[in-house]
Amino acid sequence: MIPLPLIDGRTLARVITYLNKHTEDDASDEAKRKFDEEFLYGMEVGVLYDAALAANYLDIGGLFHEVCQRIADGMMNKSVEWVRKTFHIESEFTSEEEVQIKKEYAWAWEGVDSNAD
Amino acid sequence: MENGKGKRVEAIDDQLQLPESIIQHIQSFLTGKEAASTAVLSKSWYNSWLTRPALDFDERNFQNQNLDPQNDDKFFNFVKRSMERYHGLNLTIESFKLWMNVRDVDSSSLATELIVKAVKMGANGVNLEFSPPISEYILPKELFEAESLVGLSLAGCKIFSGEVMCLRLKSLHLSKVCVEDDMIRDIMLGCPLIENFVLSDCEGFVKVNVSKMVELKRFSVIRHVTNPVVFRSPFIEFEEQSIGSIIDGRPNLSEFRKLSCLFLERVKIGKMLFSDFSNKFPCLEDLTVHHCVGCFIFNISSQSLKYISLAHTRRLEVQLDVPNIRKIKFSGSSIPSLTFITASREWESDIALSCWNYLGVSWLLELKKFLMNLSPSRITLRIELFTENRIDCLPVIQGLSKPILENLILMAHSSSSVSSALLDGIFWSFRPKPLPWKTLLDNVESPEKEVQIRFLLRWQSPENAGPSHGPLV
Repeated sequence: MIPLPLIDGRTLARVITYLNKHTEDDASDEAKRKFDEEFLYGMEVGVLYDAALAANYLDIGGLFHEVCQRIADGMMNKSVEWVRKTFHIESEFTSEEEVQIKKEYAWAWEGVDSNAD
Repeated sequence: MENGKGKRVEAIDDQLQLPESIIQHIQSFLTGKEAASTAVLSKSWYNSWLTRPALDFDERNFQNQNLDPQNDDKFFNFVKRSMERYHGLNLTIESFKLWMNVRDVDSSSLATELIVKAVKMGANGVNLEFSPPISEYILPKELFEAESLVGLSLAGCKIFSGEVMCLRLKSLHLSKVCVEDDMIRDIMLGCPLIENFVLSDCEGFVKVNVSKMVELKRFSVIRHVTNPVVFRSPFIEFEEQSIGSIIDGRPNLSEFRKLSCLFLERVKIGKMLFSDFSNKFPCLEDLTVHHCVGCFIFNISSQSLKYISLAHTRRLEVQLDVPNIRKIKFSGSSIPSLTFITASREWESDIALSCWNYLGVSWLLELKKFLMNLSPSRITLRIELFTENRIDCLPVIQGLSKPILENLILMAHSSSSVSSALLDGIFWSFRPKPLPWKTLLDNVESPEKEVQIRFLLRWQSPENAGPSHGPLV
């Protein structure tokens, strides 16, 4: 028995599903890619986070890569407020601090529609 | 909360909080600009970004339309400040990416300073691109002396000969790079672990000997300059003259044991590339031969090949003995002849033909013959019409079997290219499976379109299929 204190049963079950598919002998690369797409499609943010933590803890490179890529894809071209809301990120910044950061790294905001959703 | 692993793990809240290392990993999937914009999300995202192990410095992010001369300083300042911060905190990095315009002494010395520092900070993946391509910028020797280097990608620079100590290098991608013969030789000998090697439009050398690269899995040679290249297993020779000679050497059978992907574009090849193919490339699964000169009639016989992609404007005649094939792609302007001695039970063909000449009945018949040979596979046929076509009389081919097309896509670049006669001819010759009529005539201008669409709807109805062909559905 190997206790895994940091992972709950549901997440572990998902991880095992992923591993089973990826260690199948006759699963082709396209089949695996298709599986990954369906597996991660529509996953809630909380579930994605759990999967990322679990994959990181268990050192499962492939799954960790896919989940992080998915989270990154979800953040692209979205406004700051949207990302914070969707990904449950609490900003501890005051509005002055926020303005300061945006000023300091103004180049990162150039050409970006701040209200893009 | 403690975590048994020795990684950079910080306390994890019960809330949906991610530790810094995971945030940094997510940020590494974003471009430099996008990653910087995540810094404002929260304090942990800000801190993660400030100490991120994946550095991406892109001068283009600092250029706006005003061509403000102050912008040059902005990039310099940002980069210098970042490097100082990392130095002060004694941080190491995993990957370093740089895009820079190197046109004077200042930018050139900045680039050198950055690369040397990145190497000192332990970067194992380095990706450098300089503008203008094949700039006069000479890479610092420290780069190839970096023992930690695992992946290296260079574009638009010069490599001077020096010591090669990056023994762990697994992936090398050179694009528009100027490097001399002895340096190439030193790299080939000094980096035995290379699995992925791409040479694209490089110059300065004549010979590339890949025989010692026993771990090589993917090998691409792309050449857009007019000087042809001679591929002589296991050598690739870049001839200075416009006509190279192919020497019939007996290949050493122990080479290329792990090669699984070979990509040749605009390279001069000889028939002996394909002789004894299975023994030369026992693991080759993916073969691409695009617009190569020197050999238009050849046989490919391989147990391991799964994907083949061929392209040419001239007519190719290829005989294939590929029992494990999964997909064949062809693109070109002359209908090739592909005959199969063996093929697998289920595979796909993806054919793209671009038509510049007048299409007559003989073209249709030749196309039909070509597709019949591909019949056991699921065929996707894309025809791109560039000129006006007229087909004067329908070919008399009723009663003969017709190849079945999984997908048929017609792209017309002028409304006169798609005449009803041509469509008649196509539908008489092949049996395309029903597909939405929208996709067929996307590029045709409207007055013609209506005529064509009505014509197609007529075709799609079962009554018009005729007794000898069965319904089109």
